[in-house]
Amino acid sequence: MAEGIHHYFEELVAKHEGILAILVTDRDGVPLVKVADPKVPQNALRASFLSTFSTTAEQASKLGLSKNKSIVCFFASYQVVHFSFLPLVVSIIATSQANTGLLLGLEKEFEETVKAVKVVVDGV
Amino acid sequence: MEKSLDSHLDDIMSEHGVIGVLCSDQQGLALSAKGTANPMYAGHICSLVENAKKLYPDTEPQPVICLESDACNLLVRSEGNVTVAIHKVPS
Repeated sequence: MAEGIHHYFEELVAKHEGILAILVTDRDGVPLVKVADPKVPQNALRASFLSTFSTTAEQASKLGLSKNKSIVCFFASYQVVHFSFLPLVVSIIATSQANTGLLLGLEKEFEETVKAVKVVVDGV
Repeated sequence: MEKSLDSHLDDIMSEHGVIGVLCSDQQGLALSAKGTANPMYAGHICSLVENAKKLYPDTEPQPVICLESDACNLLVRSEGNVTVAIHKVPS
């Protein structure tokens, strides 16, 4: 199963222009699936960076706009899109020129795959 | 803030045969959507424009992309940072 999921995300990275990495992590930023292009900045793959999303999403959920689902962060050369599938988090790191709308639309595409991983994680 | 954009989209919606209109920015994020247009597809529409631009890189003004189906025609045109897609019933 693990190889199949890794392969699925590898294909997703290859298929979409501008995506540099996709990571499925737990709420502490520990990667379960990691598909990364060599061009991706190593800092963005650190657990300390990835874990900030779950804390931020928790705070964002207090805005009274119901539960936070995703956060997009724009940087000078990169953009990072985080999706909440708590206890799992999916982070997509892409170039700043990548189509943000398309990245947000990917959620529907990998939803089932991530839910399958979530079932396994919940069982542990 | 988006009143002016909305009023322009309402003008388009009032045209004969138009059932939906979507306006998105260069990043594929929907600025406004009316009628049958789904803001979730803004990314796909922008990607369509980007790919079509590769076919005619030097053409000015940008050509209109038309996707035809039995139920509806989708007309897409990009101008500057803005892309507009119109759902129109075939006449």
